[in-house]
Amino acid sequence: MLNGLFSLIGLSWGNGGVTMFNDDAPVAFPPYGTVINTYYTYEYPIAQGGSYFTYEAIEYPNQTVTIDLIADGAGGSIINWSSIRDVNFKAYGIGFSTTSGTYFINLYGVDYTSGSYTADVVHDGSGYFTTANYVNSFTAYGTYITSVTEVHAGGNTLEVPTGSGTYYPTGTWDGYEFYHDGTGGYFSVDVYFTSYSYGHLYLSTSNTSEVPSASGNYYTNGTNTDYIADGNGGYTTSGSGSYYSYGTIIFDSIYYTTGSQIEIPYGSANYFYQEWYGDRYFWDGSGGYYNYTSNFYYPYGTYITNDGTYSYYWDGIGGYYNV
Amino acid sequence: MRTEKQIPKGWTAFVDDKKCLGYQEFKNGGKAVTSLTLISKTTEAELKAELEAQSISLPK
Repeated sequence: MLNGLFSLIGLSWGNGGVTMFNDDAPVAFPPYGTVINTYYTYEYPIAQGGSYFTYEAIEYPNQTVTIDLIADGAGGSIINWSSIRDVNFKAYGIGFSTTSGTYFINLYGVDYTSGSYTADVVHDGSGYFTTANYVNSFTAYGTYITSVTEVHAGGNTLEVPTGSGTYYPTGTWDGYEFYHDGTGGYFSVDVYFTSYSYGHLYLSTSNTSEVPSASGNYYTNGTNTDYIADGNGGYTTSGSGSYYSYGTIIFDSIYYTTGSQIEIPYGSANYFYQEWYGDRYFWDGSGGYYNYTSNFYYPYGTYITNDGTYSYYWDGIGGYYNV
Repeated sequence: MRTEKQIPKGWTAFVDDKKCLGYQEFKNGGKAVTSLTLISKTTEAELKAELEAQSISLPK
């Protein structure tokens, strides 16, 4: 009853005491035209001239504007599109859709699923869109993918010869097995190794002889040392080739030119000695050598000169030819 | 009750019974969330004539 009396005279009784109010007083709204709010990133409607991009056949506005919200004088609000200003593209990261996909590994021309992802499709800040906030899920490390048969080298090597620092595979693998690496990729494992059988050639080197003895000068003598698989994971050596035949020239030691001079080419006024005097060393056919001192013609194929058109060479018996 | 209303290009008045609370040009149109009556015309002169014809007072 007390509250009813209070209400008649414009008073109410509550926990905080008495509050004054007037039921008949009109509510005051901002007058028509009052700016009641300003929006600084208001989406620019396509219908009002705002630009857009198309994503999956849907047109998305991609601009914002500054615009005022004005009072209608009766507690409502009005937007006048002619007051649009400060047009900008929507900021990077504003999402408007989601996407998903699958990761693949391609092995020998075949695609294998290695994971999947979901992502947000967002504004890129330049009027277009991009993807962001990827959530990935990959096939676990060590999960088998596939295997292939392919002969290849690798691993299981042997230093040939010992101490050389050069290593050779001692056989071949017959294939690979592939496994997921847990991050969308893969790793492979060699399978089924076959060792080289006896006689597989690792390396062949040319043998030399010191000519003359104690000179420190070495010349290949026609024979080779072959390093071959021994069939037990190691290697052994074997000889190949044959000594240069008796009379094969090793090298010349020219003291001076001598003998007749001939004009090369004819009419050029350029003269060259046909012979030289000195030592000539020869193979003896068994890996050894002999030598003697005398006049010698230059060996066949020794270069003489070039006249701008042809190159001239000795023919081995004091004459010459040109090419 | 306030409802969203589209405002056409031109001049629009916001009317409460026989009193115009305000009017202006909307060169590109607009929208309002309002309980008022909207009266729209192409030109200001046409709008004023319509308000007068309906005995609606203009804002001071």
